[in-house]
Amino acid sequence: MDTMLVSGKSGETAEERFERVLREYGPAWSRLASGYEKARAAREELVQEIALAVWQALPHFRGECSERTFVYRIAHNRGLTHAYRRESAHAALDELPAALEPVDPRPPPEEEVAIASQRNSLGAAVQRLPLVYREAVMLMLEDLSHAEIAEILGISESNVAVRLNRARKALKDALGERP
Amino acid sequence: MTSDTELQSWKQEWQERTGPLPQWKARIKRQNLWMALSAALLGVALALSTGWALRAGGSFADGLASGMWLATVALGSYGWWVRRGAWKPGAQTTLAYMELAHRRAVAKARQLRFSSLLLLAVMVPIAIFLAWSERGLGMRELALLAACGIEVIFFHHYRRRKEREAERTKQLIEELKE
Repeated sequence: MDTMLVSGKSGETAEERFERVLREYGPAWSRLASGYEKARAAREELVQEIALAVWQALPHFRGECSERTFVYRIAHNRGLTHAYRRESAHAALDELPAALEPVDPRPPPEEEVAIASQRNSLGAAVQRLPLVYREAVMLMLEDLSHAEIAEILGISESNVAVRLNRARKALKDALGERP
Repeated sequence: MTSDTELQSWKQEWQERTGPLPQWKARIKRQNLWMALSAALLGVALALSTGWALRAGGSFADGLASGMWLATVALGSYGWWVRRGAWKPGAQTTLAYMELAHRRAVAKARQLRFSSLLLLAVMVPIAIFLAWSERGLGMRELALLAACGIEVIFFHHYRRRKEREAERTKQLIEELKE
């Protein structure tokens, strides 16, 4: 493993720096991943992918933006790539001939209970948002400013405000039904 | 509930959700191992076919070794050429990453089409030649042709998947540009 000194906090090796970044942002990666992937195993795989991407990118970070923005940008881009791949795969499944489709696509009763209890959670409501709103709203929930979100998404701050406004309305509608 | 308190309660609810942290070292080791294994496998296949051609000789061994070298060089060169501009994003933005993903999907689909055509261009004439020659098609030749046929089918399905991926990324780029 490469342990040369890099331009992180003074005296940090690449490995120490990554361990620190993982401690600081790891929980946020897992939350972002949950917005892009419902299945637990695939979600954990996505968090691993994010970690790997950050590990590979950190030595190239030259301080053009804050470390926080840099790390979130990588995590977000990884999540987005995962989401479109997953949707492409689902589109492929939709093309299956009728004979190959399961007879009863409903989950077993015990799973249905678990799904029903989660349906009204904030996480589930975020997952149901269209991608363009979901990506902005997840960064907002992570406490990033409009300027930081704009930098991560590569759009203007006014565009961020418009997306967040619509996303919040959609979230409110979705969460309105919960007790 | 005011808009601000609602947002604060959402943030709190969201940030309480955490999953297990990644075992990143294991993942990096696995990826490095996989890359080394792929390179080693290609190296061993090339070395074995070349060694066999040099030791045993004969038209089949010579043809197999030449074909493997030719395919490796042709596929490697075409792969490198077709992926130009798809190595890194033009900017550090979501749109740039999505455009990169689109270019990579298109490049991969083209590479797979090229691989299928190359395999067919090499195997069909060889099969016709052997079938009409005095020697005919033996078990060994048939096994090799069957393996190539399976590979062509695999390439075809993988290419379809990549084309769908390219289509989906194109749609997403348009959505992001809105």
